[in-house]
Amino acid sequence: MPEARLGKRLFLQGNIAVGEGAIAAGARFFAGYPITPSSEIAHHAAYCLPKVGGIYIQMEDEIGSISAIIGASMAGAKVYTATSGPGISLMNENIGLACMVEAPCVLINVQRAGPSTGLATKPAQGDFFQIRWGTHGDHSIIALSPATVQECFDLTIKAFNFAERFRTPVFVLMDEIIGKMHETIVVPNPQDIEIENRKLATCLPEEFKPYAYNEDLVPLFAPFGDIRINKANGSGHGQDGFPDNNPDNYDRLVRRLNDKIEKNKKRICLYKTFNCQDDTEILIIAYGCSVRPALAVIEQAARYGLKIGLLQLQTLWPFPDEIILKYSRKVKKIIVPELSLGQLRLEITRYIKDIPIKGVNKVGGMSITPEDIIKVIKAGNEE
Amino acid sequence: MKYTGKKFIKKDSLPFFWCAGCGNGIILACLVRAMEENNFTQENTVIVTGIGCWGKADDYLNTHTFHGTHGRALAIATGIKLAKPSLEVIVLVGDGDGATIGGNHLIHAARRNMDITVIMSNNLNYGMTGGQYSGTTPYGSITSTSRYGHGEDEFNISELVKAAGAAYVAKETIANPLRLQKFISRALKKENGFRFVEAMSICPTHYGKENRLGKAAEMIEGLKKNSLKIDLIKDRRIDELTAKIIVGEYIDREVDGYIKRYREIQKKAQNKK
Amino acid sequence: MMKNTYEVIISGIGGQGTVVSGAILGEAASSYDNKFAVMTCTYGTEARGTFAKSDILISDNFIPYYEALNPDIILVLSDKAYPYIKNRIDKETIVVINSNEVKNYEKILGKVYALPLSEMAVKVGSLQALNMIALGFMVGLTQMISREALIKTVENKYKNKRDYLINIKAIEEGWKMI
Repeated sequence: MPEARLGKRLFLQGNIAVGEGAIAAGARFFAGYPITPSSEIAHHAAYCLPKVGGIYIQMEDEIGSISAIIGASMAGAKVYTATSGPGISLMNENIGLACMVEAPCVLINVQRAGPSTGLATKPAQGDFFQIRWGTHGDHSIIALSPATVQECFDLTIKAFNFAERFRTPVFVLMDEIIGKMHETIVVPNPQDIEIENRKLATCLPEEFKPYAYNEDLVPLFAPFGDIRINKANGSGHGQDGFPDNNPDNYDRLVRRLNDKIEKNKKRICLYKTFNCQDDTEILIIAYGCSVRPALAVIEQAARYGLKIGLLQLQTLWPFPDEIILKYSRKVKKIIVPELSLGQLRLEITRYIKDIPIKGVNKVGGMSITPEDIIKVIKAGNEE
Repeated sequence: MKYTGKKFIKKDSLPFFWCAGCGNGIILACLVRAMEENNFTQENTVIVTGIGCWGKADDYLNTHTFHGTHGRALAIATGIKLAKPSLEVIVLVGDGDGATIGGNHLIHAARRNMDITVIMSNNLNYGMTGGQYSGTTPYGSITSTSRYGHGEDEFNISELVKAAGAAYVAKETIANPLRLQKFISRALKKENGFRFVEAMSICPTHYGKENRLGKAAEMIEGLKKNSLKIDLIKDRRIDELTAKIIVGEYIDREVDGYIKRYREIQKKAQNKK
Repeated sequence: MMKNTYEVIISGIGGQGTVVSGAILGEAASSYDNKFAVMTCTYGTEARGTFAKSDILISDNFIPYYEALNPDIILVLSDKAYPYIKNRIDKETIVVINSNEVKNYEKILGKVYALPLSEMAVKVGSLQALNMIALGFMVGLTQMISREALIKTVENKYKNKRDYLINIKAIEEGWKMI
């Protein structure tokens, strides 16, 4: 039983820690389609969910999977799915549907080497932009990325909380290394876990509008079956959920969908710093598996006589530009290790114009090592 | 008529946006009457639609609705029903939505016997996007994307759904709304498993015009003329059946339904240490 | 002297239990010794028959990097694995060889302990137990985790009494070889 594990020190795989986090967060519905290297999350869900009265269903493809979780979410369930980049590619249209109908859902992407089928069992961080801009049209999205198995558990709970709070899809952006890795984790007691649920409408049925505007920008929710009639609508709609193609209405709707996330950046953007001091000269910015070699470098930094700090981005989207600006203010150089040709680095260059930004990039399906980072740091110093 | 179904219609959304002569109004009338006949309520019903002319039906309904994406209504409905089995979930799809882009979801929902009802409006082409051929467009037909006659054979979609394992499959044309309503009502009444009613409809604007089938009245007459009751076909030669619309109940069988099966799985899981 | 961090590589081919053995070390360290552990595994697309290895790091503190960059101990279960791990051996590395399976290795590279693990396992009662013999030996030699932690983990893992007894016996047999 998953409950039996709570409050204990365990040695868990990252994918399993995500699954445990989901159940601890109150998730009771999973629809998915098997894909390496995410399948353990499905195995865990199939085993654990029926035990706690929840539902696991394996759909005919990833398009069906995301559709099913969106439907279940609108019926009131806390829902999630897990896949890898190819699966996200298939889900993309309906990720937009989830944004539009404002269905809380958690999407776990355990990244592998792409493009296409690529290397199914090898790690990558090439989906950084895919999860942000994969679905068409202007929209905003939340993405969190764990770098330890402990964070797999903790950030999955956060992901559900954000999904529920803002009625939006939230990504947990994993990678093959963090997903498949086993590590020590301390599972907190249930009473120490903070859980947030979507805000429910309490008005009279005849006053209810499924997409009513309020100061919070997040409409109050009435699940299917409620006495308040819910009209989920992926097409242009008014506050009552019925079609409305009026340009002013649609402009306002798209802006609200973006603002409800972008205006809450301060709350959503989670991060950690290591050794970031006033006199830090080199700042490493990393997320996911690439945090780990960076941590090893920090530990050895003194040995090289270098003042190196690390900014670990736990929230990738909305992009934490203000946090990056804050910690890079006094540094002389920024190093961005990632298992891609420089996606995170490219996004950072939109905000940092006057400091050299060097990438440590690998796309062969192998992990970045501390030595890889040291090499780039040293090469820069000799210039 | 005993049942009007008017309580499910949002009056201020009328008139329908559908073209003059479109069959969708007839199917919608049959549906809401059958819903009333089966004591459905606004609160306990969720109507799930995809994209297409028939996918606009939710605009006129005051039940819970989900207007989703093209082809995915069945998968969305699967999630809704599983998450809250007490709901009556009805899926409205056209032949493009249900038999073509969403064909895989259709056969798998039937195989799994999801406890939902599907009403497919089959007008032999994509009406909303300008009359292109779909998975049910007959061989030789002229459409906006088969100017020289369609080169593919069509699905007999009711046979397909029956073969996939559905609990209930029936087909009727809009030329016989009383029987259509009866089949829809039987589908809604059935407690377990996947229920599928194929409503053979017409698209005078595109398919009818392109293939010179005349105005709506003539097309409906054509549906009547070409209909053949399923219990009569065993005496006919194969060549007598071509171009016929085989109407009636294709299958009506007792199945567990997926909800019941999954409850058993939950029980097994909970009894396991 | 006790080291703060131990880096272990368990190498073999798919199906030889490289992951399970590593997981037992990691669980013992995490759940019973209050230590930190991390394990990453390398494997081919096929589950069986190709080179497979687990890197397990055990420490009193959080471990920054997840691969054994300077392995203290390497266990080699198959001839096929040796070429892959050979360049990771330095003169301080403890190399534990299953001498029943691994024939082609350099006897003076690292601190080599060649043990007839397969033969010993059969004597204990199951060839499957050879990993446990190796674990008993490696833990006994280095004290990277406590004996109690190892035994409790095995107790927790093997609920079937026969399996439990065989595995405990295997650990004892391995321990005796130090």
